[in-house]
Amino acid sequence: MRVVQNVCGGGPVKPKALVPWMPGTNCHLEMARAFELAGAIAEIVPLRRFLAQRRKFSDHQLIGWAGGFSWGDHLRAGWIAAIDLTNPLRDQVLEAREKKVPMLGVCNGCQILVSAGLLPGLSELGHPTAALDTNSSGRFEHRNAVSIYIQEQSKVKCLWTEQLGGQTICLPVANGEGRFVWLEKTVCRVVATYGSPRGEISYPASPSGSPVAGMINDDGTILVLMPHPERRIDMDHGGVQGLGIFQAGVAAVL
Amino acid sequence: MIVKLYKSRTLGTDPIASRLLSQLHAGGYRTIKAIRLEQVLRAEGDISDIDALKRLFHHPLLETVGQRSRLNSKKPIVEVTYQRSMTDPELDSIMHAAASMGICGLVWVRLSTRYEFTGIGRKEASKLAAQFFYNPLVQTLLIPGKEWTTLVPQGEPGGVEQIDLALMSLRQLRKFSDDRLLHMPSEQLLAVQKFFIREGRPSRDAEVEMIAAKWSDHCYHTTWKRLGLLEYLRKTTEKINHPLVVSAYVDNSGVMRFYDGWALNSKGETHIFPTFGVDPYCGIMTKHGGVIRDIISTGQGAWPWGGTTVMATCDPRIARSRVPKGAFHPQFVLHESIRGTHDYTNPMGIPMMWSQYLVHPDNWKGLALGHSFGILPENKAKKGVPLPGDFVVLIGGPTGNDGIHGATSSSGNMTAKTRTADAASVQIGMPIEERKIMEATPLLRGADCIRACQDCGAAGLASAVGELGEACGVWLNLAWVPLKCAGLKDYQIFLSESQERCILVIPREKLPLALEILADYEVRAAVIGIFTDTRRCQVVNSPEMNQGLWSSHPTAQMSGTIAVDLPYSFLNSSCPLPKIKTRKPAVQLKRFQPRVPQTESQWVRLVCEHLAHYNICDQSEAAHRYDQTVQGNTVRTYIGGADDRMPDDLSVVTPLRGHSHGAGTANAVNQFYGEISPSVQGRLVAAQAFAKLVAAGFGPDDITLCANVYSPRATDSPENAWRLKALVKRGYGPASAILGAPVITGKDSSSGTFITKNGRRIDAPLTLDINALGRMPEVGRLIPKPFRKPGDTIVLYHPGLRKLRLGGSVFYDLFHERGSELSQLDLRQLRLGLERYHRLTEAIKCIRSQSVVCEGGLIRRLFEKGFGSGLGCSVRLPGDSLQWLFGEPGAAVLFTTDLQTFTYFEANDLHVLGQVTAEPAIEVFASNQKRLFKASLEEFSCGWSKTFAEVVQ
Repeated sequence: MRVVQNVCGGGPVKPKALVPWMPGTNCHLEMARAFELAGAIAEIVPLRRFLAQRRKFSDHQLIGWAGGFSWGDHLRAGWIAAIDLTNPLRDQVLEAREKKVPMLGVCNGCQILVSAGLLPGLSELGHPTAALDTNSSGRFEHRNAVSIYIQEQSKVKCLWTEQLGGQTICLPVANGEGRFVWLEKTVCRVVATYGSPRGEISYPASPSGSPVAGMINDDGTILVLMPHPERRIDMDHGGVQGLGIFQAGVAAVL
Repeated sequence: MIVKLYKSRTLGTDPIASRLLSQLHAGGYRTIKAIRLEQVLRAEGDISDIDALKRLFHHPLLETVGQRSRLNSKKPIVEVTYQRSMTDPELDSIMHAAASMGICGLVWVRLSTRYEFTGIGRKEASKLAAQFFYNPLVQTLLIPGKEWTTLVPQGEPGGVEQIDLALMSLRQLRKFSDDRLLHMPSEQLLAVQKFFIREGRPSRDAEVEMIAAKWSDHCYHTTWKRLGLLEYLRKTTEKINHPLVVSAYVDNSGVMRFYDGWALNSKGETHIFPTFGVDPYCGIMTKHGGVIRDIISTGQGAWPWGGTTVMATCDPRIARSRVPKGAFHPQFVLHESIRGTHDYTNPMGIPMMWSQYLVHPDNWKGLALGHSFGILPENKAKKGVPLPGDFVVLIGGPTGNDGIHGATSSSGNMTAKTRTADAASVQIGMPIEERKIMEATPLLRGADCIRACQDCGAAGLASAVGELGEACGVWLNLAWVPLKCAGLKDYQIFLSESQERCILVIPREKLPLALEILADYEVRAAVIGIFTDTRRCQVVNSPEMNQGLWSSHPTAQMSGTIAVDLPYSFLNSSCPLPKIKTRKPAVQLKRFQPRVPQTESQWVRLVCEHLAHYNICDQSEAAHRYDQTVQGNTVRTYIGGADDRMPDDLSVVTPLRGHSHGAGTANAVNQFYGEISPSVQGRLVAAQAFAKLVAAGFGPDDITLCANVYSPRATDSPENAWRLKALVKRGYGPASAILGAPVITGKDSSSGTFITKNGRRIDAPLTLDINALGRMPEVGRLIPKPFRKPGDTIVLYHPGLRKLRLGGSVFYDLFHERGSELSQLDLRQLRLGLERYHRLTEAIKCIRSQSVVCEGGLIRRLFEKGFGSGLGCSVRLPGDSLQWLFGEPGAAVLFTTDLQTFTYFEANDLHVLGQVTAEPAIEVFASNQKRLFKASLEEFSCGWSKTFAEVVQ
């Protein structure tokens, strides 16, 4: 899948990957590093610069919403940040979506994008059709290596997992609100499941109690994942099983 | 107008309520049939759009919101909220969201939680809430029908009380100290009185409070100074003259050289008094917040990359009737400590690198310890010194009435009255504030904006600014300190230990740039004063002074109300040290000889019971609450192996992103050995921490130590003083010199004494925690812990082991015994042996797996290595079966290899025990070849898995 052409004379230039930061974001450095290892130029930018209209999302070819506890996860995980996206940043988000700028939301980033209503289904921005509920255990869960099955591209089209379809990768999971729930009528495009193609709900195969580990939006550009691919990008740190996701994202915009 | 919105869950069961219910059931409150929760948002102002406020407050899929409660008013309901004098931690977030949604007219918001109980009466519900659901210092129960007329904090800040000490008798001075919770000994009170007589004026409350905090054992280390221990440790480290030491005993943490111009810093901090005496949850949050700030505020600022938590309590399974009045039930302390740790360290985004939970029957005022580790450029790693004219900039959260008297209270005994009398000393944790500081610090450092920095820990501004001002003098205006509480007196603003605050010393020309960086990362910053050349600490409260105008021509103006005006010559050199006698205790050590099992099944049962001992059992239930891989630099987690439950001996990260240089930490802590011999305790614990790193591949010359000592009160017990001295001067002090691993940081806490209501004194066990920090040029050299391959030879390498004994072991504790003799180590031989081992690992990759045999003995490590790999082993013991299976040699390396000969090692230091097997079972033979037992790993894991899980679930 190719979304944005970014080629100049002499070969492809490195795409610009944006990693927004807001109070509580704490996985931005590793996400920026993952984009860089995948061939992008990553930039961490405080969200307040976008709120002040000093920067625009659509100036970047890729956007990675990193994990953490944005705004202290007050009221719900990712909720306050989602309010920013759906209100003062609404036009910027819609523009980026319109331009099909690939977005990746990991953990808190996933909670933000789902709370903003960017996915699943054809929801309207600001009207979420799904939520990341409190884990069934009622507590924060960290697991160093959880098996994540990536669905075949033939079943779920996703530019971020283009080369990974049908594979099982092991990634760390670390969250307290990671259980996907959605409105009955919503069509969810599940791209990653815990443990098996159908998804496990037993603990600890699924740390959250949901079979779903990740979803993609309808046009295959916005991926949300509760596990952390950015923590598995080199051999010193448990392997490169997460790197493929970033490489696919970068390849899609070259 | 105040609008009230009630939010309750609509989708499925509420996991939070379910968990709360199961915890209350576990705590013995079994009559409660159900709990329902409801959150209330109170919003004050001329609010334009209440529907928008509803959208802000609730998630439409999960919750419903309305202006009427959905709880059953006929059932007991309690509602908990922050007191009106406080600002809710969520205020900033909610106000930000409201502004984003265009909600106009909002002035203030407050959140509360309502609990509806089924199965108990109203009185019992209120009692339960008071005990478990709120901290009366800062929170309150809302009485139905009694609503606030405004949500905005009320009160007038400021005000100084003059106290004339001159005519007070010693008795009156003591009463004065008790009434103000100063915990000052008589000699200090007399010194203060003498000073103010000489000055010819009454003292001000903030001055007395500042002196009490500054001279407290917590801040001034009076016990250790009197016993000469600090000086001894300093000199020992100097004598070692280790080339990696960059900074020791001068800053908030110790610093060692890393690679490529970078340095690592480490610190261990106890936070015992509020954790055990007042509020475990807030106490633990403060512990982590404080030690992380110590790391951030080292040199010109560091980046934290790891942390630990170590908790020692009484047995959480103890009957409620056995809990002395004034002490918390240990299960409550444990639950709250785990909750406090994950609520603080996870949002901080700092990987947990070790968690450990211990029991000892005398831990009513037990141990609450945490470490933090950081990285900073070596050329920015030395403690900075302010210059006259530099600005005093307070950054971080606003100041409140939380944490008053933390420094002085922590230096006193814990008594049956502590929970109520000293409640004000607890702080409210707000990790997001601290994370913002953490984020901005490297940028400020990189822009040369920080001349020096200091965190606001014990005694708040009094300590942080007070210490920084020692170099030249300092002037502050308390009116410029951002507050979250109304009605604070000057001394409270000055002494408050509100969390997540630091002082930056910023050169004048750098102020605009620094403020810009801080604003970008949403760190609240206030210029509150200036460094002077007066060599005095001068503090005023002058609201009339215009901060903006003053900043362009800053001078120290003694206008408004003067709160403090003290010369540093008095503060720094006039503290009388306590008189402490030392006397060797006349202890009758009791020999113990357990019965040796006669059958295989008896052996298996004994091993299962041993592995299920609380101190060495599976504690992954807690470890899985803590993020161990955030920052993406984790190479080795401390819980790992095949199913993510095997305890490892250490944890390793690569703190320089994109480089393979490793930083590893290994922790060793013991509360049993000191009952037999404090000096041997010191040597064994130091050796253990050191050996864990070397066994895993770290060079013996690449290690420094952090030592934390927790001891019962020594000022009134010559025996306790003797034990403490022996631990330091004949224990880990000389051990560090012999091992060549300098102690570069640590913390002493000498207030481990609990006085029960009937006056019984319970001394906490003498506790030593040594955390070894090592560097490794390339993490590819790390040797894993789990068995690797069937057929590998299992070797026990124990250089320096002179006697292997069971005294002080976890095994003896099973029988509630200590025994009379500890294992004995020749540390010189240990060092030489570990050097030999390290050279071998560097020369050829022949060591396939390793672990250090210490607490729990050989059988614990065989089991863990098997459990983590799914492989088993067959071993023959070299001597007495009980001793070799359960004895704690301190620093023996259990490794597996494909080597056939062992000419690299001294033959006397080594035993070839057996082989790794494909069958997941442990088979053990006695030295006479008789099989003692064989059982599957699954069988051994039963009790091991349950002990801790049952306590915390």
